[in-house]
Formats: sequence, structure tokens, C-alpha cells
Amino acid sequence: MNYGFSYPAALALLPLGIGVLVFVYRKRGVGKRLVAPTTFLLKQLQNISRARRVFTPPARFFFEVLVLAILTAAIAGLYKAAPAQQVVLLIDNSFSMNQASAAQTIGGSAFSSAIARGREVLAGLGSNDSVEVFASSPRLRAVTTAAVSASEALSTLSEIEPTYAQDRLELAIPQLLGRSGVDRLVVVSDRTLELGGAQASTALDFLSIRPNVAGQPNVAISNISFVADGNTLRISIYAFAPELVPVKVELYGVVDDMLQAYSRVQEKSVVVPKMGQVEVEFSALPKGFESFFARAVVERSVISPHADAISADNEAWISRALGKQKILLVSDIDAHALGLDRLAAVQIDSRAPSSSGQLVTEADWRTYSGAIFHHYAPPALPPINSLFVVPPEEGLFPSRALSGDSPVTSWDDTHPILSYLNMPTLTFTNTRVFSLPVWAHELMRAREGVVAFAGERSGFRYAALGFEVLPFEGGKAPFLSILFLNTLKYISDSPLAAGFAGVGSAVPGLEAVREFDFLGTSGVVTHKTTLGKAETIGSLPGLYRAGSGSWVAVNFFNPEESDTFNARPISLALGEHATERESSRISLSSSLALVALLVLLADLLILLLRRMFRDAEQA
Amino acid sequence: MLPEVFSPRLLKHLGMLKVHARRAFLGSRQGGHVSVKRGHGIEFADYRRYELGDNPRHIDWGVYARSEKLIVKTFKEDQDLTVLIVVDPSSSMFNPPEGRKWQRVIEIVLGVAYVALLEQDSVRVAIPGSYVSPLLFGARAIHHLARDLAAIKPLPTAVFEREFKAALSRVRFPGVALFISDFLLPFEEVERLFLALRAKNLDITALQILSPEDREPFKSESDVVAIDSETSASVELNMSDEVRARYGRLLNEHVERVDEYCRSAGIAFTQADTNQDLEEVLLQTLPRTGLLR
Repeated sequence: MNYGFSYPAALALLPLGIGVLVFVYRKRGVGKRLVAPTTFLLKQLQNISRARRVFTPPARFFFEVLVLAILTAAIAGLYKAAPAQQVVLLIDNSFSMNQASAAQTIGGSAFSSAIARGREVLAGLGSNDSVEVFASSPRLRAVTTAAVSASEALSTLSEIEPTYAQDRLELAIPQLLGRSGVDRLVVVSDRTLELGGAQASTALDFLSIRPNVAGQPNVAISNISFVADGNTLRISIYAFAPELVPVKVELYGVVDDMLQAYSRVQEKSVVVPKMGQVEVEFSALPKGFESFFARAVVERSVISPHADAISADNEAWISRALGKQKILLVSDIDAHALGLDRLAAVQIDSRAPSSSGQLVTEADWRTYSGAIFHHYAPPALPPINSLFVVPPEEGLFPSRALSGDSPVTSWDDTHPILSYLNMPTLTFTNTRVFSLPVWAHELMRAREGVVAFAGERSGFRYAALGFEVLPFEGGKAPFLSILFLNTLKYISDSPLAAGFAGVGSAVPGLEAVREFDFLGTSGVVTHKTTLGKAETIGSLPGLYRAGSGSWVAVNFFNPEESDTFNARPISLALGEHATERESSRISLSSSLALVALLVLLADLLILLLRRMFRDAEQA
Repeated sequence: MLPEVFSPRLLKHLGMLKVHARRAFLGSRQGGHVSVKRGHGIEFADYRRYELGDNPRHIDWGVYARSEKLIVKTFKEDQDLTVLIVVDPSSSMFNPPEGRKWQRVIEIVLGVAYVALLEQDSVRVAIPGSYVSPLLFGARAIHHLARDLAAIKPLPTAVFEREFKAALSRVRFPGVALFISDFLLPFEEVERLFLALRAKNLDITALQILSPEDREPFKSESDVVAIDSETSASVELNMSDEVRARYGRLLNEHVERVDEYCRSAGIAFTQADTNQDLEEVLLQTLPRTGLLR
């Protein structure tokens, strides 16, 4: 069993304290300086105490040194180290970690607090412990190449940076806990943990650095799109705040010359409702601009200065679509009722299921980028990328209806349809469970079976959802809306239909380039990619361009990551995995302080008893 | 004005006393004490043969009738007595200030001087280094003396012995001497002071005055660095019970040694405490020495 001190420098207090004690003991014989009428008799009595001439400590001195030593050990943080263990440190570096830290320090963020906590955790490990450091975003990534010592792991923390991605902790934590040989998993995140399930042997220390219980308000641009006429730009501003937030929206056209990147086009002031969204339209856009940059600025003079926890989500870029995509909607309900007219970059042609048979030639199908079959499925797979929303039980995709709530139990988080989505909180009602076609890939599973799948067949993409995602409601139902947009993007095979691609997705036209220009908020920067670092393209929001081509916009918005106000607890049903285990260091400070207190009390008791006996004897 | 402590009752009692010398001294003028000088007193001194010029009134005619010899009676002459009061002004007489040692000394000086002046004796008060009064006569002089003693602020002196001898050099007529001191000096120094007084052929009475602080120094302290009020020398002390007992023994030994010396030298020695009543000191302590009767 190893013992050590958390603050060994504090041990210097012991010799200092003993020195003071010796000085006090030696000083004890020196009395007050008093004037005597004469000292000719007193001189014959001069008696410097022996302790002052030669320091021979009395027994009490050793008693006081003992108390001093105990207290010093307590101050120095004496601990008992547990046996060597394998520790995994997982740092949440998702987008929400950009929020200002609780300490409100200048330039401080939740991420810097998380790194500081990580350092504390590593500093608290024993010398025999081995550590692996992981980052959660954009996907679970090992920062250390192997299990290393705590001191080596410390140096790797600086390699972690916050990303424009969600945390995926629901997936990462069970995955890490499931690794063999892991004694302890330490997670540092801005989220909180809700545990369920049995407790077992593996330790999970979830260190939440959520700035405060109430959360911090935040404002974000949730969407930017061209309206149907192509000359109007619509920007959606979302406020995750408990009060009305006045926001000034600035719109810039991309100039891109040597002197200037942007030119201000218009600006508007709006008030965003609490926990709500407002849309701002900029019409009569000036000619000559192919790309735009929008920025939302919180009017800080009106509300508290901390009303915007993350500034990185206040910016959005958009480029004019290369041409509107046409989507065929086959439904008994028209596009307006299904909210599809809100998709400005998509042209919807509606047809009733009864008339869809009129599209008989392949040429007819090719006029559309994709098709949406709502509550309907043709007898055979259509020769076009298609989305089937709640298809009938009989026919192309056999399914059966489930009654009651059905929570999702597993999902494929690597599939583009499920990107930006946090699945474990999802519970379906009126769900259909499919028999999975052999060519299809399972996307989501409820307890009873597959509720969503996707796959390719004969060169076309197909996706089927066993639950209702329409009408499209945008920010009012972020989860289903993002799922629908992801699916639409998947089947239409053109991320630029909306005028921008998402961060982390392949940017069309730039997949194989070695050199590209990037225009963020600080001017054009030319990057050269190297093999193995191709992810540089599209990893940041902004505009990308290869050579003399057009600018391609990349944006990031994830309502869960931007929602810094509401708590986002992680609900883990860990099963055989564990929740809590004792720390690798068992602090003995409080025990030592208690011992010192008891020793002093015993001393006081002995003193009182001696005085009582002496008084009794004198009486 | 005499201090308030001299109540009418005390003054009345003092008026009934007189300074007493254990032997006769030659006075300077007529007074109430029998002098060594033969003269016209009322106390018979001796017989001698009649010589030419003797006053025939002093012939003892009864002796002549029995022996037919002319014999004259001689008488002792009554003269005044010179009273010298010497006060030790060393620093120890002023410390500690709350000990009132010096104030009590002044009261005793005035009391003795009052008795002497009332009896037509001459009085001289000497505070070596600070004050030597003229030879005082008559009862009214007590007020001048009281005023002078109240006004002067004696300077504690570290060269007490030299000043002491200088003050004694002004003594012209031998007589009675009262030496007031705490005698907290090395015995050899005390002995030298007494020798200086004895050299003046004085009838000496020594009054040792001590304060409670002299008897039990640093009563409420345990560890002290005692600073000598006269020499500023320091002494470190742990005032344990044992040390206090040893101090008491040392003080007693010192006092007994001084007392023994005084007895062997024919000096009357007595003690008074500062917390003792003045009346008790003047009417009981000093009369026991024979100085006042």
C-alpha cells in the first residue's frame, strides 16, 4: 500500500513549526522587564532556567511536536494510494464546450475548465497507474497511442481541441466501459449524468463542469436559406434563453478581393422569444453576390452581458444553390400541409398515390432528384432515390404496427441520416416495425425490431422510416426535422441543395483537392492538405473554394450543442457496468485532523484532571 | 503647611514628646537639654573649692558650718540640641512609585523636626545631592521645612556615598542624628555611611524603611528581567516559591547584619514599613529607640 502527499511542499511547515516551537520553549524562561528598587539582593538569586541555557525539551515538547506533525500531514494531504489501475480519461470536446466557463474568466471556456479538471485527475493518479486519454468528438478518438503514465498523459491534453460536432457520450461511455482491463473511467463534460441499471465493478467518475445549475443563455443561427424567389434570404435565429433576447442580424455579401472579404448588405434588429425561434428575411438582395455571411449579435446593452454563451454558432454562410432540386412527393396530403414548402432550396412536385403510375418511363423519373412516398409505397422499387415515410403494412416493405411507446434501443450513429442526432432520448408512438430487406442497412431499432433502414439497390438509394416525421416543422421539432433533412439529403444526393453543407460532411467538389481557400471571419486563407489530413476540408464553418471555382458554404448548427441553457443529462442504462468506485487516492487529511483534535482534547482532559487532583490535595 | 496626615491629635501627641540624646552635647544656645557645659542650670553637677571670683551665692553654707571650708556647688547648663536628619535619596527610595516610600520618609522627617523645633532644638535636614536645609529654630520653622520638602524633587543619585559625606561636612555642632534609608545597599557601603556619621560624634539612630515590594518583589510575576533602578543592571529571574523563600532569607540576613553592626557601634536601629501608620511610627517605633520620649 503506497502513501503519499497531495501537497508535499506543505511538509516544509513541519521544520518551520518545530523551529517556532523550540524558539517558544527557549523564550518561555524570559520574563517581563520590570524595574526593581535595587538588585543587589536579587543578583544573588539569578537563575536562568536550564531550558534556556541548554535546550533539553520536556516531555510536553514531544507531545506538541506530535500534534504538529499530524496537522502538517493533514495539511499536506496525506493519502493512501490504491493499487495500480488502468484509467481512461474521456474529455468532452464537443461544440457546447465552447461556452463561457463558470468562472467567467477572460477567455475562459468550459473546455479550458474541462482540461483543467483533466489535469487535476491525472495529477491525482498514482505513479503506477496507466492512463489512456480519449476525446469524444467528432467521434471517439484515442489521444494517447497506448496506456501511458499520468505524466505522459498530461502532455497529450494540449492536443485536444473543441470541435464543431456533438459529443456522442451515450455511445462513447458504454464503449469505453466495455473495454477489458479498464478499472476506472473518468469523463469530463459539460453535461450531467443520470444513471440507471445495476452497479458493478468498473468505476465511472463523471465530472460535470456545467457552469451553473441554471445554465447559460445562448443565441444561435439555426438555419439560413434562400426563399423560393431566390432573391430573398431567410435566417432563423434561435434563443435558448429564459427571456426575450434582442438580436441584431447583420448580412454581408462575399466580396473576396485583396482588401476586403465581406461587404455589409443589410442589417435588422429582432427580438427572439424565450426558448424560441424567429425568422428574419432579407429581400432584394443586391446583384453580384453569390455567397453571403450572416452574423447574429446580441444587443448586450439591453440584457445581461452573459446572454450568449457561445459566439461560434452566431455565424452562418450560404452560397447560391447550383440549381433547385426537384423532389416528387407522392401523398394524399399536399406539400404545404406537410410543411415541405418551407424547404426553399427544394422544389416539390406533389402527386396523389393514385396518379403516380403515370410516371412510367425512366426519363420521367430522372427529372426528379428524389421522391418521397408518404403513407404509400409503389408495388416495386421506383428507379429513383426514395424516402418511404410510414409505408403501409402490406406491399413493398412488410411491417407491423406497434401499440404504445417504444423507445429506441440501438442506432447506427455513423450513418449520415443519423448525424447530429442524439438517439437515446427518443421514444416512438405509432411505430411500424419492418422486416429488414436483405439489401438494406438497419438504422434504428426499437425493442420489437427495426424502425428505420436505408440502403442502395440497383444504383439508387432508399430509406424507410416506420414513424411519422412530417409535417416538417423546422425549429419547432428539431429532432424530427433534422432527421428528415438528413434523410432528404441522403436520397437527393446533393448537400448543396440547401445552399450549404454541414460541418464534417464531404464538401462536394473538394473531395480530392490538395489545395483550397478557406474564408472564415478573418479573411481568405489558403490551405494545403496532406494525406491523412483531408478532414481539414469542411471541419470549420465558412466558405471553401478549390482553385478558381465557386465558394461552397459549410455551417454547423446542432440544437443540442447550442442549448447551453437546459441541462442535457446523459441517461445511461449501464447494466453490468458500474457507476461509482472509490478514488485511487484515499485522503487521510480529515482522519488526521480528527486524531489531532482527539489528542488535544485528551491533553485538555488530563490537564483539568491534574488541576482537580491538585486542588483536592491542597484542600 | 504640614501634610494632612498630621492631624491635631497627632500634633498634640507629638507636642508631648521631645528629642532625647543619650549623652550630653555642647549646645549653641540655651535650651531644654542638659549640656556638658557647667553653668546656671538647675541640675546639680559637682562640688569644688571656692575660688576667687566665684559667686558667693553658690557657696554651700551647710558644708562650711560643718567643716569651715568654702565649697561651691556647680550646675549643668541647659542648652539646645542639634538634630540632624539625613535621608537616603537613592533610586531605590523612589521605586516602585506606588510604594510611597519617599512620601512616608518626608512625613517622618517632618514629624521628628516638629518635635525638635517645638522643644527649641535646632534642626538641619540633609538630602545628599539635593537639599541641605539651614539650621532651623523655633516651631514656626516647621512650615518652611514642609514647604521646602514638598517643593524639592530629589534627584536620585548613583553616587550617594560621596554626596552623603559632602552633606555631613556642613555639620558644625554634634548632636542627635536620624538616618533614614532602606539600607538596601551592600553591607560594606552601609558600614561606610555609618562610619561617616560616627566621625561627626553624633548620637545616631537608624531608621530602615521598607515597602512591601522590598519584602516580596514581583509578587504576581513568575519570570522577570529585573532592571536595577540605580545601576540599570539586569537580572533574569524565575520567581519560583523557592526563589522567593531564598530572597526572604537573604533580606533577613542583610537586615540582621546591619542591626548587629548598629548595636556594636552604639547606633539605635529600627524598622518601619510604608504601609505602617505614621502615628505608629512616630509615637511607638521611634520612641522605642530612645530618640523620642
